[in-house]
Amino acid sequence: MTAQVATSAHSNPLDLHGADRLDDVSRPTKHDDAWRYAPHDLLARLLFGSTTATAQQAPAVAVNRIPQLDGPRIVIVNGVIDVDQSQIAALPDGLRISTFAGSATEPTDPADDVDSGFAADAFLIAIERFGSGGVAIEVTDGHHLDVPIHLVDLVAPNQTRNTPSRSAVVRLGEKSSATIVETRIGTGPVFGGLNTRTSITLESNAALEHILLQNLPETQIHLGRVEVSQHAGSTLRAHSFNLGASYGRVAYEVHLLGAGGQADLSGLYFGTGAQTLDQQITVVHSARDCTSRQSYRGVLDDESTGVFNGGIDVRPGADGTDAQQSNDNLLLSDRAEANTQPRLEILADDVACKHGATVGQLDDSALYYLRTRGITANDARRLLIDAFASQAVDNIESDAVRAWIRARIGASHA
Amino acid sequence: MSIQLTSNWLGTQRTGSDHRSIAPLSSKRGHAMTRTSQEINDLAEASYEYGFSTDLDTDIAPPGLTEDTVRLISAKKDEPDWLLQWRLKAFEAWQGMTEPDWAKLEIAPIDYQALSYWAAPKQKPVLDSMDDVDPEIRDMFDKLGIPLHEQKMLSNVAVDAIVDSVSVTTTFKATLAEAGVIFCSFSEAVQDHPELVREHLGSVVPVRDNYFAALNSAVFSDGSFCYIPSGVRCPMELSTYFRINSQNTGQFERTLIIAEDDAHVSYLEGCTAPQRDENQLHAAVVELVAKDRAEIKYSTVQNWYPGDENGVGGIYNFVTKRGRAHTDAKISWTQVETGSAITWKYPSVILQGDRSIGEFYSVALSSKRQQADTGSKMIHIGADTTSSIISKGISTGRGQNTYRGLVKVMRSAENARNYTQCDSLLLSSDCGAHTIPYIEVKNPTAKVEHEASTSTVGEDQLYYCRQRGMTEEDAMSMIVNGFCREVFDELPMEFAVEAQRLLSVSLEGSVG
Repeated sequence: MTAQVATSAHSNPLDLHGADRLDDVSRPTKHDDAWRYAPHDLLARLLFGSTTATAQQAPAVAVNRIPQLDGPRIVIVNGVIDVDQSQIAALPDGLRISTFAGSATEPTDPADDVDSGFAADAFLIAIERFGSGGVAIEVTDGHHLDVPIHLVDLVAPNQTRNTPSRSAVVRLGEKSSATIVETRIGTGPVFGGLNTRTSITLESNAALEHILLQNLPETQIHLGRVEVSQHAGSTLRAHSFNLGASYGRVAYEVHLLGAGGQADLSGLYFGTGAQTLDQQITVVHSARDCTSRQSYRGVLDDESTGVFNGGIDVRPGADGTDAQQSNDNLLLSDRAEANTQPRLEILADDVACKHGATVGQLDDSALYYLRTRGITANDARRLLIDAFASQAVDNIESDAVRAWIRARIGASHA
Repeated sequence: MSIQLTSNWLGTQRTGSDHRSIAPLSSKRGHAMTRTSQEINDLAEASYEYGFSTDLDTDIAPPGLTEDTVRLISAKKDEPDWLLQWRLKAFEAWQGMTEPDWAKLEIAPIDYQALSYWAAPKQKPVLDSMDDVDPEIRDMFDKLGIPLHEQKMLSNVAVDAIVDSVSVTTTFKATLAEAGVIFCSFSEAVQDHPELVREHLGSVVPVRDNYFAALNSAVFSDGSFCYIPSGVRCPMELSTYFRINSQNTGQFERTLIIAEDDAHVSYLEGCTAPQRDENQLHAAVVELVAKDRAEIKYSTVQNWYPGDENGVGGIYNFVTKRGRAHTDAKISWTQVETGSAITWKYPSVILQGDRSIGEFYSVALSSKRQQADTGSKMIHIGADTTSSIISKGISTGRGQNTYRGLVKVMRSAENARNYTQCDSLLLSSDCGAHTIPYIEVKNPTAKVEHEASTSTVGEDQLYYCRQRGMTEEDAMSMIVNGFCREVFDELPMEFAVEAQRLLSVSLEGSVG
């Protein structure tokens, strides 16, 4: 991460004083690997800065789009909690939810980056400087929650402050378990974006299933980062569904800090129109005998672009590491584009790391086979795409969440 | 023509008998050739053949690189005006560029103004006998199984043996001329075949391509030129050994190979013996042009001085190698990189014509404090183009080895196909292996696959071999050679044998 700061920012990324727009010097450029395929012209138009409102209400049109799942729900509209739509009364035992204003953390000093361990970029700085607030979720030691915690972000940008920045801090105590679903939706034809940071700490032997569904309108930009610190014996299962936004960015950085941790990340991105869907995944093995899996699949239609930049970093001493990564892309149109960069950076010797990436199109012989069985060309196509995409959905543990995600994917790409 | 550093910018120069340069080595010892002392002298004094007078001994340009330096180099080489203008354009481009910093390399700052870009041909001390040769190098010769008189040639020991009176070189030159193949130094080509040079120079690697290519274009000293006429299959494998004219061409070497329609050539570069040029910057450019149905096979075994265990000394090797393959043409790069303190090298193929083929086979070893950032680029433009990349990285000691590659399928490349396999082997706990591939696909009919793995040599594998009576070192050597086999299979036979031995020598001490 220090390397990223050193190479990306030619100047101090804190040069944001008084500015609500990230100026040219602190914004990443095409020369930063992590931002190589991003639409830099659009990023330049994002306006940060704190919202003036102390309370927000979801626009009526959007209310009925808020997913109805059992369990606690926090609805954040333009970066501010909407109390009416949230359900955080009568929480189950062992769950604490609180809200806070501003940023959850002190503003990042580049000198501190080494300590925090997570890669800093201009948008993280924006969250720390302009963050409108956020939510803290804590599951106490030994508690197992059997209903998902639902975090809904709703973006209805206006012309002056079009990009809310919010944080969420999640801590799972020792031997606890939970499922957290984050949904990002938006409304309106106005250009804007959402800039989020979710910081997760899993104490020893905790287990978290984290699901992220990004379905912003194509007028908007999604910048979502998830940071996970995993202690000994903890388990993370993360599934991302990157579907909406003109530029949809989902960044996971997972640090395996304690022995025997497991991180299993998977994702699906499904691009249409002129979308760019960008997955930036890094798993850092800092402790012995940890296991990690990354499995990302992209379906790219029309003129969409899919990006996968996935890294496995094995630090010195992380012996016994078992890490695998795969990225498969399906191009459905001759204008679609897939860019994949599966990285391995290995500094320990007793490791087994593998990665694979493929780019291809629907198998003609499979299509032909289905058609000889009387299935129409369109249906055959859909069947094959569903089969390709369903891997990511099948991995979801909770039946309710799985069914709901399946319906969402079907709805947005019928 | 070589260029010497006039200041000690890369670290401590070795002194005394250690500081000695070794000339390139033949790959053809399998042919049991003999050499005349005349030939040895030719080798030693090759630079003089370019028409420089002896007073060049004192003719060293002051350190620094300005437009005047470029003009001086061009004038000294009696170059036509178009080439001077081309160099000047490159120099202007270079001035506006900055050194690339994206590679995973830690490089001490290079002061380009502290170098001298024009110097008298390098004089090597002539030694009386092999006893004067650095024992470390002698030891390596023995292990590689290099014949004694070749060792002498390499070490610049005066040879007085009376051998075959016909110059081997002349024989080969005659054979090549008969076939219509032009194979000469770059300087000769500029004088004798200016139209060919002018047409193709910079056509594959433009002057502004990258920082080091621009630098090379401005100040390149010499190199080799090879032209295979239409329909000709080059009667022999061309290698640097026969390229006596361009021996010690120095840090800024320029190679241009043109294969006309249906032509075929296999070109070997480098040497397997240690080249003890120390503390130097090498920025070479190699351009290959394969016309319709032509085939170029380019093999490199590089064993420049890697520096010592503490990272002192060693060559900085920044190389731009690229080929352009026209319709149905094939370009194949094979490299075994065991030397140099720094390797920055990405042999590439532009698959321009339909059905053209690009291949890259690589073994890169980083031991001691070596750093290698190497890989390949395959740019698919034509339809039905195929490329494959097989890369084997081995890290040991405190070496850092990075595979960095790009596979790009343009919109026009219908049914393009790529297969990439990058395997890394880690042999010590202080080394690193990194894989950074870029895959960019803009055509849905393309099939692109990338696979990579990183692992270590298992205790169980070593144990199994030792049970069968092998020493631990032999076992390690065998396992590593097995790991590299797919690449060695691509090398011409004599090269492959040497490469295997070389790997064993380089791996010494990495067990346990």
